[in-house]
Amino acid sequence: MIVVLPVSVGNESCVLSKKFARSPWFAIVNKGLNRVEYVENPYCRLDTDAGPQVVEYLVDLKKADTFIAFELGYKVQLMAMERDIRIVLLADHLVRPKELTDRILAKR
Amino acid sequence: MARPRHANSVQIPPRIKGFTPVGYCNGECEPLLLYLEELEVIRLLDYEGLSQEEAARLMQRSRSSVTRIYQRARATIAKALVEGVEVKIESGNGFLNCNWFFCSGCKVRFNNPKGNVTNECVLCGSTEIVKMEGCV
Repeated sequence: MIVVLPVSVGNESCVLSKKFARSPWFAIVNKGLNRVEYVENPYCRLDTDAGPQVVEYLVDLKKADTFIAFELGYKVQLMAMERDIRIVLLADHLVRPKELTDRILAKR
Repeated sequence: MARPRHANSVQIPPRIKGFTPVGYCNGECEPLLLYLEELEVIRLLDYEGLSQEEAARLMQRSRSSVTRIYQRARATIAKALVEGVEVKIESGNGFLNCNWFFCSGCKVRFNNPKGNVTNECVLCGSTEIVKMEGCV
């Protein structure tokens, strides 16, 4: 299970980014390897169509199978559904990403 | 007899059940109903900035239908804002185009893209999950 969260900076002190494709960084939780990796979003400053590029990057290169976000743009939603990616929509954008990554790694 | 309305594809379930006015409100009025397909049109056109043609394609409806749904949605929202009336979001003719679940434990909404049996929350592991037909 490889879970992606949009975050503000590339370390544990980050906060959740409200928009997925425009997030400056992603936290990638690899449950199999019990590891959290922070990667910079290479597409966050694109003028248009950041969503499809971000999905391709995360799914094809990083092998993500789950996106966790507060809100997803419609292009990201469509592409994620086409590729059988699980979407988890949070009720609150103030939740700490560290709490979420710990919870994912601790879940059996 | 009125023609039955077609179902409208909705991508994701809304996170709330409605809106309540702040301060003095017209408390004696029945809440106004905003249907799932009306909220979806508002989301696609006003929040996502799509054209009516693009929204129609996503909702599997004609552009003229989307225009009508949009007009109804705006009229409902305008009435609610001006008259101070509560708005309730209801399913109406909208249907979710994928299986969605709500976790009563951590309040997340999640889909089940592969259609497998889901009996626990993907985030907190709670078994208190409900399949969403429309609103939470």
